[in-house]
Amino acid sequence: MPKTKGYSMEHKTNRWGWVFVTLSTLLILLFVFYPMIQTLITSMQSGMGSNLSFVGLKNYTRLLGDATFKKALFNTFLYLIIQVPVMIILALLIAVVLNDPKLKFRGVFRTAIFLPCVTSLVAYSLIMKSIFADDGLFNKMLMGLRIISSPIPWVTDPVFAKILIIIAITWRWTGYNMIFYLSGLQNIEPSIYEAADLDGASAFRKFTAITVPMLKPIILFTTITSTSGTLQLFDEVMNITGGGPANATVSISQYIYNLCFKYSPNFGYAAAVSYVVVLIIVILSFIQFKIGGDKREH
Amino acid sequence: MQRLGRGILKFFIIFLLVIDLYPIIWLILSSFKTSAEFIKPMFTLPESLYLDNYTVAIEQANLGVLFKNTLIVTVVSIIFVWIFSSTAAFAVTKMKWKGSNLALLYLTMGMFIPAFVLLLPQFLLLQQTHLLNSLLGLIVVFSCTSLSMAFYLLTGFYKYLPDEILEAAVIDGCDIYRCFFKIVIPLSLNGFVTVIMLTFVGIWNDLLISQTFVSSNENKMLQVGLASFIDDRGNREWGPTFATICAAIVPTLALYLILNRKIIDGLSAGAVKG
Repeated sequence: MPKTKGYSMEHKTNRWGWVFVTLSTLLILLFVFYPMIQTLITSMQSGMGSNLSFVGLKNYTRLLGDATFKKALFNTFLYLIIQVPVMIILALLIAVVLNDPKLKFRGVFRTAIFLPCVTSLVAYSLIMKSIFADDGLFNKMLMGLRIISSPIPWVTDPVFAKILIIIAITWRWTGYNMIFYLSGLQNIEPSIYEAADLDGASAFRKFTAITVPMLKPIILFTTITSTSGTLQLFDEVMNITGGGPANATVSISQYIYNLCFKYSPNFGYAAAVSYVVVLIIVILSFIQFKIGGDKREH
Repeated sequence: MQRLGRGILKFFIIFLLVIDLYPIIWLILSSFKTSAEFIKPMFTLPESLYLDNYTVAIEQANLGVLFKNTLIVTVVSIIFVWIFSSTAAFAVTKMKWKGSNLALLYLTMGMFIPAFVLLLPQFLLLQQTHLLNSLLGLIVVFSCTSLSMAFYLLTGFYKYLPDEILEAAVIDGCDIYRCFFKIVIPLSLNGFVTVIMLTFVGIWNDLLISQTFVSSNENKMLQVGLASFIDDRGNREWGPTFATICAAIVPTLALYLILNRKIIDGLSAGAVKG
């Protein structure tokens, strides 16, 4: 918060401050925080429609024996553990490359790399499905290069379907994260790099000793938003593989959606599943803040 | 050695460019192919500008209605989001009042709550207020759920408006209204463009919320309509399928290409330095 000392109209701003935030506060209260509390209450209830009864933590204990839930949780964590680090490192490398002042057409590259995340989901899932079809471009290319002898069943094989989801998310979101790094890099004083050059530091050394530490707050920010985004993964799975084959790619959000609107509705149980996700997001964000925050103090 | 390194770099960048751009270009080119051309390998170029795909798409996918609904919901929601977030962020960062820190925390926290946690209670809320299946219902939900992110980005911007300007204006007898309209708004245009663009892309491309709260045909949103059109005839009529998809991504692409420099600058100022 910036210092606002010297303001001569403090009592007036006090009133207008409240007026300005009241509307936003009410809207968010009604459609974000009230539903959140409602979901918490529902998560401890069981039954249908108005025949709800309080069951305490029964919905939560039921989770422990739910095979689909475990599978969804496992898949989501697998996406998280592989995809987030790969994307963050890739985005960081691209940003460093594009930050080179000697590079021509930097603006064009920047625009192009950001482009995938403004294309619509339906368009992008169709692109992915076509390129990774059995007779799609990617298989043809691999076969042309004689890397594989028969086409890879990207959508129907449980392992490759997971890889496809990871490739798809990475394609769409790397550019988004790259932009944050690029702007962070532009804030680093060139003189620091010049000093390192005089000391004869290698490019790799400059990257690990200057670039990464200077960008730590941004890396923290992007890691937290990407983690939270991956834990909420829904669109990609729903549209590219539909969660299949046999739930091999199903994510937690998709499972919750199915519990609410696809299977015979079990709102209490769906609410319990979603609260577990909220809890995981809170815990992971907390851990990341701790780790990121500690390193910043050095 | 130096030269080799640069060669690898150049190859890396061009490789990335192809990966990012080719699928989108392919999508657009494919929308001009006749059905006979779809049998050929997918990387062949269309032989001519075959526009019939688009006429079929407009007639059969009901593109006009889908566009109208989506445009109304997106534009009205953006206006609400902009009004609420720009004033609230101003109040929290530039005014000194009791509870401003608490308000900052409260309004930012909304950003971290996953959409699917809220889906069911929101559904019931809309049902009780008879807003289910209506554009107004979608507008309300989109406005509320997009508000926190917009608010967060704008607080990042406002922090970089020098306090001295506002203080000088206040000393010269400028009231809070005029401070906001004559100083804050003109100096935050980059920030507004970023917020508006991100909100636009978020709502225009949304599937989860629009598919959950609207099921009637006359109020259907673009992405939901597209998804069902593809389910219906995706494997039989590729031409019209590609044409509908292109028609749907052109507005976001155009908006992005026009505003791109401002958005990227805005994104960095709002989130990185904040």
